[in-house]
Amino acid sequence: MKKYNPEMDRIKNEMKVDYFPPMSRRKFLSASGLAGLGLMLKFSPLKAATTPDRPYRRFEDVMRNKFTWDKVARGTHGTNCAGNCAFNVFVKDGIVWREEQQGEYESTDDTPDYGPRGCQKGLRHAKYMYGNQRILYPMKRVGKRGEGKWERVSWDQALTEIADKFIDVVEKEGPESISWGSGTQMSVKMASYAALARLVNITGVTVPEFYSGVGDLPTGVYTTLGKVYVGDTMSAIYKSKCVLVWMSNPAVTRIPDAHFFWEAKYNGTKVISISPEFTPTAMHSSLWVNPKPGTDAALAMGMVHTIIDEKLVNQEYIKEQSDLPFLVRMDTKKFLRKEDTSIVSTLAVEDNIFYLWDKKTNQAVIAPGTGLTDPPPGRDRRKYGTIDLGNIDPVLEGRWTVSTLDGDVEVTTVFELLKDEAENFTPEKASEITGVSPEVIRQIARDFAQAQPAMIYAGYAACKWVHGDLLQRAFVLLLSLTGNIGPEGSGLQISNSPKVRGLMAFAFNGMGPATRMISATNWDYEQGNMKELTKNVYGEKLAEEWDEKYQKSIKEDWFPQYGKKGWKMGFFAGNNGANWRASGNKWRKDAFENLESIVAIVPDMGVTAHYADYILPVAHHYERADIMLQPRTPYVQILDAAVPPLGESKDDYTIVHDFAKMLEIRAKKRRMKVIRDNVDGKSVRRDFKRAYQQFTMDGKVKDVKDVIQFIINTTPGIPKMSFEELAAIGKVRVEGSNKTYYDKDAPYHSEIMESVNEKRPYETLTSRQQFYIDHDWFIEYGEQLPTHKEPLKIDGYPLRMMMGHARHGIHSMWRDDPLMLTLQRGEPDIYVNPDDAKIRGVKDGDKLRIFNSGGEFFAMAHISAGIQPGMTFMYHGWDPMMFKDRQNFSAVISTSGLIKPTSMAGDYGHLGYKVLAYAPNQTYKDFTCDFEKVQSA
Amino acid sequence: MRLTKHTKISPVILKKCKVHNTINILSGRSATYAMFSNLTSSPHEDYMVFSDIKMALNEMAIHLPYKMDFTQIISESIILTNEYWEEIVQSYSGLFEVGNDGPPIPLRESANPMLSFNKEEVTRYYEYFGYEVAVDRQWESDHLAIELEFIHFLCQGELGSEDALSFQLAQKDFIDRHFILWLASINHKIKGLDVHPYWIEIFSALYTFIQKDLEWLTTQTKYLKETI
Repeated sequence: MKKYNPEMDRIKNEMKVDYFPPMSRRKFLSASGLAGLGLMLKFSPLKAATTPDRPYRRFEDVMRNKFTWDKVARGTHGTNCAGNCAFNVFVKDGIVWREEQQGEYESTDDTPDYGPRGCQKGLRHAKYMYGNQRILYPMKRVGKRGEGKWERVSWDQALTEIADKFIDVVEKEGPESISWGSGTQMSVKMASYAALARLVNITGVTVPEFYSGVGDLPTGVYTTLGKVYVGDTMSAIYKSKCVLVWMSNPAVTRIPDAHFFWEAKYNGTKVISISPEFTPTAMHSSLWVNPKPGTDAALAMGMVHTIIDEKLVNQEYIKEQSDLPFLVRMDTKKFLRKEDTSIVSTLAVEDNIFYLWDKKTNQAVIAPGTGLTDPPPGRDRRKYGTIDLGNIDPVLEGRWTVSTLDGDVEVTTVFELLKDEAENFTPEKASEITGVSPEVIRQIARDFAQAQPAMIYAGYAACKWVHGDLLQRAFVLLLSLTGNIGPEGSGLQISNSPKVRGLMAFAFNGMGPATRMISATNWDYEQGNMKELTKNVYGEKLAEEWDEKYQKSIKEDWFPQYGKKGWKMGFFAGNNGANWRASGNKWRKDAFENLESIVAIVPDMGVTAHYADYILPVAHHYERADIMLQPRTPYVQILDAAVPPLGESKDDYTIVHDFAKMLEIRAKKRRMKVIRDNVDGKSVRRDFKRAYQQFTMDGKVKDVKDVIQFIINTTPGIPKMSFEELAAIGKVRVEGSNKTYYDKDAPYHSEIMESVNEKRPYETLTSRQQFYIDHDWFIEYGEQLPTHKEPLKIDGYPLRMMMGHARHGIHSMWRDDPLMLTLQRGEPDIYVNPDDAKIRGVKDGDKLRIFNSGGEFFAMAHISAGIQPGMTFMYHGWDPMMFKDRQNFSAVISTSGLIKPTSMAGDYGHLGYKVLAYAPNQTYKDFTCDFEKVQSA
Repeated sequence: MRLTKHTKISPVILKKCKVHNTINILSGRSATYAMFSNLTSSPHEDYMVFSDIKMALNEMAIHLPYKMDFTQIISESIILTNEYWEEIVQSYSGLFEVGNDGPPIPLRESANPMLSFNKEEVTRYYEYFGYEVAVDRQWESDHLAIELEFIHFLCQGELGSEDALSFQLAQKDFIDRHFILWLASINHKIKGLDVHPYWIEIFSALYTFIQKDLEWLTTQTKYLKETI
């Protein structure tokens, strides 16, 4: 208790101390002049100062209660690392001080558990979120575009002006001239993405789809399996006996999960890392195999040759599960179809009925499960048939003559054709291409084939090569030949995707789908005139030939075309779109910077915001609520708002909500007419005067927690509970995840398991794992079967540049964190081989100019013996803002126009445009460059 | 008694100070911190009329135990706020709130990575002395304006406390650990930018004031320690 001090009372009375309530600046200053002595607090609700409980003598005194908190919130980082790591977030006085891994994870079967999960980036976020890169207020450009002069404006002003421009463009050009590009920052947060999906469905703007846009769409997998999302939990690795870690670097990119590889290795699993550069993953693996960049498919085909040559094929498996026993006409290189053998009714669709050669009857017989027609909407096509061979014993090898409407023709099996193709890649020949010893090729093929089960763990890198689809088809072929699709611990592990039925239900509720979604690859090709880029860099012949196929695909309606009137306004939410375009400066100069309006909706400053007209600040990971699902771990993870959004930032849902509201207000004010729109042949009536009413489902949806609850309630596999219950525990295991793979109750269940185990037809033209594609374009380009094709290069430039995800950032997020930078070299660096450096007179740490005919950028030389001669390597994600002239490595990547014809094929069973399944990737690897030392001035 | 720029505050002088003088010094320092807190906070939030403060500034200067000259600020402020208010608001934002690589001169201490700053320490100081930041301002509790207000708060606490040493030591440590390097850096940076002279005046005056106040506090606390 404090002692009574009459002297102090006397002083207070004498001074007439007034404890003013918080007052305006004008009042404060006036008061200062008159009284000048009172406690006048602008930033605090306090009315009086107090004496501390303990005397203060040194600064350490204040830190004695360091580990005390007001609350601990549950959270994670809503970014695209797919980690979904559960964190405890410690809050004191409205500040996030630190985070810790939650760590309470269960194991599956007898595999190691998932916890604790997290990495140095997540554990740094409590500091990063308060960094100087944060955008805290709506900003409006006041200088020239890209000049970097900004004015802080109110939300009301920003949204009013943006909504007016939006309406201007819609009235003049139609909604498809506006793009609302979303990215992985948005899509991993289900509620945010659902809100955006609803808004774009209401407005009809074009959504350049980023999955293929960043070169992540496994089209080769889809081509073969009819499914693009394959993959089990990370614990499946532990069940495997041989893992090929191919074009992937999980020690860096999957930090919370990499332990499964090493635990498996200690358990006897052979972990073979395949990458041109010596990676941190290779360092820990049982074996490192380093093919020359871009020759992986030759390596895979060399392995295929060995597996066939040494009779390591699982014949029973491929006879039933694959098209390898299917008959092919030698004259046309096409499958033998029923329509070849009999006159069919004009109403019947019999171009998808195929034949096998039955050993027992010694004749061609119809392959079970083929000839399926599309079922009524909502019905599962696969339930209409079976691939069970019954009494048929298909022959894999042989040539026969069959009678057709064209007369007698010679036929053989796909397997025979595959053997012929594999002869082009004997280990010796493959060695010449890849630089890998023939004996190593044979040995890893044997290791892989003889291990049961075996898996291929691959990231998205294959998708980023022009011919990456061929490599992925070869991956699946290796697995299929050895019976390794289906068993626990086998398969191609890329990444699954949840069937978030609730997300789409929210987006389309009460309206039906009316969304324009197209691959960002196609969007960029047309809006940025990437044909011109290809012509300039790779030559006119290639540009013309591939463009001709592109145009034919559009003309035939195999792929849609949006934005015919041009691109006028661009919204960029949840992505750093001006960072990753594979077109040097062309996209930025010829498309992006020519937009009438650019709106960047971002938490941190980056190059996209740099060129924007308006920047709207987004709340960071600990300042918002949302729900996340990531297939690597079988858990639903919650984001709960540990603290309010910093400054005037808002979460994505609220921004979309507020924009819908403003759109409705401005549309009413301007008496905007109803738009009679048409999306893919479907008439749509769009009335922006009801935009907000529609968005909120007539007021039923009030905030983001309502969206989260909607998703929980309507998505199979998510345990039913309230948001509050989920927020209290942070994460909950998804249903159907008792094994290392997902069963039917899980939100990730792969129907491929049913094809293998229940003999259900695959969703491919042949109803099988389909390795032979007899589409005219595939035949024209010699890509009927998996094979290797040399990657493209730029004449005159000898070095390939490889890239990969970084340890110290998730794409461009955290890449500029001061502490992270101190763990690296403090600035962008490029890894080069010592011999290549020596030839060019370069020493470690020198400033390099990296260049080709597309452009140039500058980075520090990082000399490493882990890099092959003839290549360079750079971790990606460095924002252009961190480079000289605000130009990063994309200056030399000129591949945006390289849309290979087969990726635009259509009118062929499962091939043809399918959102997030079959679309051309934007590729990033098929180029070469050179480097030189920058002479100091 | 009025202390001038060159007055060395000796323990003897302080010992002889009457309560009234001590209070005047405290009130002068307190009000000066409050004034700088307001001058460095965002003009987006309420309106500033500098013509009102001429008297206040003079009054503060009189009570400070060292010489401070606010004449330049006063004259700049009156002209600018009467005629170029929009310019002031915009220049504040462009300097301290928004920018391509973050604002050129961030006024949140944690946004200055080179300061080797422990953001938590600021909050623990607040907690120790019972200073509470309003909920909507907690995210920027290390903003210069709020930290300056905290010193104002400590001055007021000292006024009502029998443990003046705690408050004075806290002021001294806080100023030393959080203001000296930072304000030196701001002053250095701001002079290298193409900014309105008004902001240079403000930060120059603030830095001078802080240096003098730290010097005064150092002497004062040394004396108090000796007398306890």
